[in-house]
Amino acid sequence: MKLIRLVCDYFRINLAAAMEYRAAFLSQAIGMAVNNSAFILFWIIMYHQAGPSIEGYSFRDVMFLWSLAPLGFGISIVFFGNSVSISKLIYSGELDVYMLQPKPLVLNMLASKMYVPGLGDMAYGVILFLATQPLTLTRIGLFVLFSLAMAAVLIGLRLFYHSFTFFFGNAEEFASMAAESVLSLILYPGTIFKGPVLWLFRTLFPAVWIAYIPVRLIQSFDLALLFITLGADILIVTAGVMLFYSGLKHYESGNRIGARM
Amino acid sequence: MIRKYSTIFSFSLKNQMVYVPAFMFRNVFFILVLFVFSNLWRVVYGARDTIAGLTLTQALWYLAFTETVELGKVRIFDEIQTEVKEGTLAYTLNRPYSYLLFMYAKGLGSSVPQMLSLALIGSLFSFVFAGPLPYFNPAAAAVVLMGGVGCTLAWMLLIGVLSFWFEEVTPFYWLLQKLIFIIGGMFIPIDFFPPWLESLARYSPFAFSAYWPAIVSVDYSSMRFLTAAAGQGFYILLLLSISALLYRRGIRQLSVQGG
Repeated sequence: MKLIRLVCDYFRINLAAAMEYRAAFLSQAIGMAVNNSAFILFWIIMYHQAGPSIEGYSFRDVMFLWSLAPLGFGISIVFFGNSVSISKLIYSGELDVYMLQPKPLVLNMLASKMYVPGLGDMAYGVILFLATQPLTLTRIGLFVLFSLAMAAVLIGLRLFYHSFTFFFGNAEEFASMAAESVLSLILYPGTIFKGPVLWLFRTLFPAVWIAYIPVRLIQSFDLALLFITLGADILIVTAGVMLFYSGLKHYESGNRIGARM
Repeated sequence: MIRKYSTIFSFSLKNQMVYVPAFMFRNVFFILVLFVFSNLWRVVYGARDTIAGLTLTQALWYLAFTETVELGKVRIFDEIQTEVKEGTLAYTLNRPYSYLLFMYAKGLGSSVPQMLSLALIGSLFSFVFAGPLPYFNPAAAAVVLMGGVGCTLAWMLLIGVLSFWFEEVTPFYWLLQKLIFIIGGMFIPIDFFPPWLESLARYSPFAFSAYWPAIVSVDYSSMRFLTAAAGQGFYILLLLSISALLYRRGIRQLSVQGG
């Protein structure tokens, strides 16, 4: 409960800071929503050529992916904005500030920053879901659950990828590229990918667990598969946290003097 | 006069050539896009040999060329925006060159090495996964691909000049990027569009940044090449002229405010 309150407090403070620059805040959030909207036209054209289904995915299924991904991604950068800057915190010695505070390190570090454009992503995801999906209680419940699971996995993955900075110096470019790759993969019908590459999408770039199976569960619900998926999600997040803490043993303080207001 | 700007072009080119190995690493993302689309096109094509006259091979090569232009360009509006905001633009006023043409030539020169590395990777990937193009005219492709970057940079010059009136011009760039993505036919050739959108998109300025360079490269005909080159020349001149007009007004405003 205390941890949730910490995240909420950070959110409140960061939002208040962002609202000081209202025009920039609105233009960034609206810009991001417009940015995403352009791709609806892309899929309309694609389905115009492909017919009603692309390898088992209807237009509505693809729109489910395009609702889920912005909401999950938005939550991950709005509430845990520092998850995209972990490498920088490590190599510039800025972790000291968080290590000295009487709060759980990972949560405190991740939640202390907010990326404002993420609010546009979140709004876009919800609006697109409401506009394109049948609004049954089960579907809404699964949408919320999968969005939260996706946010958690994206954060876990960033922890995992950026932790390489502890071991190999600055891995920022690799981590950003890997995280971007996962984000790109989750926006396309999973069934177009075949063969051994799917193993990569179940492990290092786990699009299967956060996007492809959720769509399958929306198409036809299966309780056992839901539990397997959530289990895989928990495993990924645990791996990220464990690698971070194991890398932390190699961390060298930056001797930085900093103040956090 | 041309020599002045071609020197700026070649300095930027040499400067950026040093970073070619770094581009190669960053281009992994480009390969991922090609990989995703090679799978997507394979499914969409299904048993069909062609869609709107293009084969699966041509559709994949098409994306490699549009992405070469899109990912190869340098965001020149960022630098213009910073110089306007900080007032450092004032220092360039008494220099013996046109600030806009300087930025344009610099942008072109910096884009070439990135485009070369992208074209290399894109060609390699397309060749391995889709096979060779039935016919390819390298000279025509080079001209229209450069023309494509020229068009996008002319847009970015115009966006940069808007910094005289807007504090943040990046949202204009996002808008431009999306128009090139969709109306310009960056991911999907305009020939695949529904008729109502096709007629709107084909000769729009955005199509000369993506569709025309790529379609000339994958399905060459002299008529197509001439249309692409003429359209690119027209839009580049138009956009540069509008930028110059706005720049003159902006500079007056800058002087009034004291730089």
